[in-house]
Amino acid sequence: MGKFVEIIEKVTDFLGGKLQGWLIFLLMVMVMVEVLARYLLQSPLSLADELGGYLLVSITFMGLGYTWKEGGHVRVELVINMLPKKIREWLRFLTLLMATAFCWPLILGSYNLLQDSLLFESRSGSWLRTPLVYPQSILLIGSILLLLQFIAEIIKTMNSLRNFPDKDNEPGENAKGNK
Amino acid sequence: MLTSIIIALLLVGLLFLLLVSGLEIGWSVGIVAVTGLLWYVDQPVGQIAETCFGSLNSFTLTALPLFVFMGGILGNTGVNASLFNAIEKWVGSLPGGLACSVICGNAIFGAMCGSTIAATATFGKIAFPVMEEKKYSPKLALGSIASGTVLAPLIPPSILLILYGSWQGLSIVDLLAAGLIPGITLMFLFIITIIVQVKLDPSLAPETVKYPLNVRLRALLDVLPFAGVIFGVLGAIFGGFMTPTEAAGLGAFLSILLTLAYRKLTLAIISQSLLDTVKVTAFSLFIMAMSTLISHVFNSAGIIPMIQEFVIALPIGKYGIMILFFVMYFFMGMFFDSWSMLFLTFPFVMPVIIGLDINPIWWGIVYVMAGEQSTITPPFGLSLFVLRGVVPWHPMSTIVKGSLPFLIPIYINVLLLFLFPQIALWLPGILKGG
Repeated sequence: MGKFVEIIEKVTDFLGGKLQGWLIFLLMVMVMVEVLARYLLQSPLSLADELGGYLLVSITFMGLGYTWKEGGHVRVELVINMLPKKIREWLRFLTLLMATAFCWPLILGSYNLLQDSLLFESRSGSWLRTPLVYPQSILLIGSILLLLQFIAEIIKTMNSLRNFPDKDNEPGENAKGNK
Repeated sequence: MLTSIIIALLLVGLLFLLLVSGLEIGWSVGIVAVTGLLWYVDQPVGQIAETCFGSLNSFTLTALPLFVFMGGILGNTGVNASLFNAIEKWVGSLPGGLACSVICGNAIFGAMCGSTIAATATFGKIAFPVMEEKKYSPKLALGSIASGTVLAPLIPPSILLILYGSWQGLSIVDLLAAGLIPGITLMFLFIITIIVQVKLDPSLAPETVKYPLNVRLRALLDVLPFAGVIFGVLGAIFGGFMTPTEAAGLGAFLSILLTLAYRKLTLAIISQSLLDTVKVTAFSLFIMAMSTLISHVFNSAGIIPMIQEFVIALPIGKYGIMILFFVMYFFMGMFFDSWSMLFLTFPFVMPVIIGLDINPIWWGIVYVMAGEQSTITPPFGLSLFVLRGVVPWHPMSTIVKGSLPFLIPIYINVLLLFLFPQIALWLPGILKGG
């Protein structure tokens, strides 16, 4: 199980973190090239407008799992911090399961959207006429990546919940006995 | 009618329950939105993806990661230290001079990249040790550092205003221009607050020194590169040469050049700033997408028009309703940050504002202050927490006590905006005319 978590987190770090980070850098370069082309070559490329939007979809959706892993999603901790530690940890586990369940409408929704776009051969309104299936597939990939990260989080949390009572009650002997 | 009310209450109740249980805000909003979508308005699940794609596929919004990245580069390299030193030569002779310098430094930093969090952390690291060494009271020192961050979202370019504008389909240039004068006014009000505090209790700050003219002039040279970045970014936006997104790209690029010139930039800093930007983008825009969905669901269910009618019919008048919102944000601000509050409340607040015929540009500026008061109000104030992380040896109560006096200038600034809306609306008008 530990190996599985490790692999998922490596994938998340790379696809959801590093790659998206460098896409931001690419975005900056693309925007600057667009401005230069407009003023120096007097001919707008009109690429950045469209591709920039797609990059933003990617940074947000592919970055969801990575941001979760790094604790970057904002939540209200004030109230639960008043609860005893044990209840708090179980509640956290429950909210984690709810968040995982939310992957279902995300994945199903993205899949349905892709089907529609394929069926109607939807394209962007710009001169690129990009088939929308390509940028929209980012939603599906990102949601699946998120689900994988959630599975890793659940495994991690279950491990720590299982070890928790040992540390809390009688450290030392009991912990060994359980193993 | 009655069933809609019950369903609206149930959904809002569910949202409240999920938020309180500590589920991430984006997911709390999302689960409620999807519940409403599938169970009440009975629309296909594909709507989720369609809303996500539609609200995120926006070139205007790409200014967000670019400005956040720019703030990360400037903040993580610590080039602000030289900026702070230079400002101190000019403003340092005022009573509580270093605290005033922090305020001005925040204003200038805000004029570069409009990011609050980066500013708090860097000024905490740069300015606080100097202030402690010179025997400033920690209360005044930490209070000014925490509060100064309120300036960044007002002074253009402001990420908060870009989020608001692109989400609600308003002119970003108008919004950014509208924030300039209120931002500068607030800066002066903050400085007056510091001076009054020091005059009332001289033990808060030591006697200040006045620097000779040649030292001051040399300091001016140090500010030049920063001024270059500011004029580049703001000039490009207000001169009509670039869209705000392009100006954000230019700003990020200029920051890289600037920090390279100071020999502070490393690959590790770039990579760290990029990863931080991914986190900020993913967390905030996911909430935005989910809030767009909830807005769609509640509109389809006819709940939003109902709320709109109900609030507008309240017998407290236009200003009463706005004050009510302001008070609501004060209390919500104890639990949420200004970005999350924007996304959580605007699906409901915006229809009321439009229904009351209030200028949305002006309201955006009022919201910045309504929302940003949350960064310094306990128990959860973003600035307070970030600063606590930087100076863990000082208790939270010191930071809070130091910050609370700065709520007064924020309220005075809001009052000024109510009395003279032109403070915000004059500049956008001029830009349009010219």
